[in-house]
Amino acid sequence: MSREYKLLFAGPMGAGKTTAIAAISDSAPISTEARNTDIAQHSKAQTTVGFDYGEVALEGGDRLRLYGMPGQSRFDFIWKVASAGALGVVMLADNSRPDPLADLSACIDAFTELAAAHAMVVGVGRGGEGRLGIDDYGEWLAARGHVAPVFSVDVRRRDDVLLLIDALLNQIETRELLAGTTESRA
Amino acid sequence: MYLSTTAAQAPHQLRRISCIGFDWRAEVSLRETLALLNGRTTDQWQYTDEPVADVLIYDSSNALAQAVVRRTTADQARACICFPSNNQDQGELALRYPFGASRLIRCLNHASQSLAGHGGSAADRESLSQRLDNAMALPRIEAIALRVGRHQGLLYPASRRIAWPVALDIDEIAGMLGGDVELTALGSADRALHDAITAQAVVEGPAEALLWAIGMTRSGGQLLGRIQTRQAYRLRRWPDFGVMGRRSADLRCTALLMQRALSVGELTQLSGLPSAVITAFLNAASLCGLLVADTASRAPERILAGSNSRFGGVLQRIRTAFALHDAA
Amino acid sequence: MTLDTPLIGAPGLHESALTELLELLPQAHSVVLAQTDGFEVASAMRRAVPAARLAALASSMLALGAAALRELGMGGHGNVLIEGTDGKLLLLEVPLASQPLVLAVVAGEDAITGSLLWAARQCVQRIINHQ
Repeated sequence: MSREYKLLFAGPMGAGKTTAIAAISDSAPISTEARNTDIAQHSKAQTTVGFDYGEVALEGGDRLRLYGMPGQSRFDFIWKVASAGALGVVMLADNSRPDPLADLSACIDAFTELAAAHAMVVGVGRGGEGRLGIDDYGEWLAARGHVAPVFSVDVRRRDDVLLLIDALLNQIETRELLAGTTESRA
Repeated sequence: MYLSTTAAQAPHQLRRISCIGFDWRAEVSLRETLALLNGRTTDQWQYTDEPVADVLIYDSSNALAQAVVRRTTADQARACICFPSNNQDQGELALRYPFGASRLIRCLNHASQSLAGHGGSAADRESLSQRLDNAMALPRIEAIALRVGRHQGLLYPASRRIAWPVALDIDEIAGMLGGDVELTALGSADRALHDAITAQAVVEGPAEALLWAIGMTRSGGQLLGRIQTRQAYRLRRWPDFGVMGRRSADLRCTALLMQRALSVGELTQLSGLPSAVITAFLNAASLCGLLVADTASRAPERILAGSNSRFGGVLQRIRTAFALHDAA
Repeated sequence: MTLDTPLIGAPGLHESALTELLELLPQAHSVVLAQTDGFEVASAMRRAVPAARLAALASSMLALGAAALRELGMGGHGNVLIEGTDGKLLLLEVPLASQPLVLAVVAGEDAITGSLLWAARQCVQRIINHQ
């Protein structure tokens, strides 16, 4: 019987979740975009209201499912449903926003449990207009008790998205590896 | 990969060979194959971790490797062997993995020919990583002047930022890695020199990508003197691999050291990576100021065999689906 | 929700259409009109429901339903009916060219599905006619 594994892509509106999934999905992703009326929040024309869905075939007939979460907190019911049983979460930030950390705040809190149980990685949209450095994100995360990797990425590039996934997998693997060791401190 | 040659002298001389942009497995395979060739090639070949070698084998799909080769070829300094060549590439200096001995012999002999008539072999000396670490540890140092070819800039050890005449993109970093780097420590008495360089070095930014690359490629297989083999270390934070590129070995070591302080031996054992890879990783992390000695006294890790994964090998299959091993 | 959205017509007219639906169908107890991106536009209710929450849920579910239809090659427009043990939830698309909307009707378990659908469609038609 084939099994399903899922990875979540989360983060505020306009951070590139739909783009990231399209960059790595085997086939064109299924999207649930609606016309964006909240121009004050983000100027893009379309926004995800259900979830984006892509998938990657694995050896042995299993599938890796990629779910892109809607960014606005009014859709947090989907975040909760999707978190159950996920391998981890790729959190994307939009560094061109006036206050990128405030935007990230609601999302990060909603996925705290998943991040703690499995893994989280943060991708910060690359670009000259960025207001904050990678260190600012790292310190902000640390203050909230997260030790997630923070990478500057361009999610239009497949290799950048793979970097995020590779880091996520390495966190899960090494956590399991270390759980199999004993550590005795004097 | 293509072979890049520097300078040759008399026949049967000892030549140094190195590789860049390799999966570590390919590197191990290359070293093993080289060891089998003893006496069967025109020159005698010795493997080195320094890219300042007579011959450089590079992964033609790796951006940093391409940049190094562009640079070294421009300098006419050495010969380059390309790997993995695409199937069309049947050139004299193209290799395929796994390395066949006869093909490698032909490549090396061809490289010897193209090297003949050039200058001397790369000199043995302290690695660039060690020299840089020495300089950064000097007391009351304000900046380190770096000179590579025509470019000169200032590295600020405290903030780990660098001022350079042009933007430090991957090509520029590759140029620094492939060439001789001259270091001069500047204190408060060197104000005039400091100002003179500052006038030219107008682009300022973080030096992390450069320092990481120096640690990875210019460590000469030697751990920095400051790194104690019995000491446990952890990492202060994740480096920004978005800037310096994805290598699975780096991600694995970082993930381990972000979760627990480990000694060099423990890290080698837990990661399952060759010690040369661990050495380069630790040097890179140390140069970037990310390696922190764990002060708590501790008993060594005991690694238990046969711990079962809850994910039943799926992580491995996800890697396969994305070909994530390629950038190891 | 966002202010100054002339696209969706006068709220008063929408509310009268919603109230009329409740009058037409005694088993329906709440009705919410939302934009397809999840913002509440108008509501009418006999029994309190979290209208803003329902607006976001309704837009998501209708979007997922439409995605399923597209995947099956069955167009991209449809309605969603959820029959619970204690009641029914019906989601209808309001295909306004200027700003598509979603109508969410909450009814008791005694509501007859056919009547619910018919009354809700009347309401959708009234909203379209108001434009």
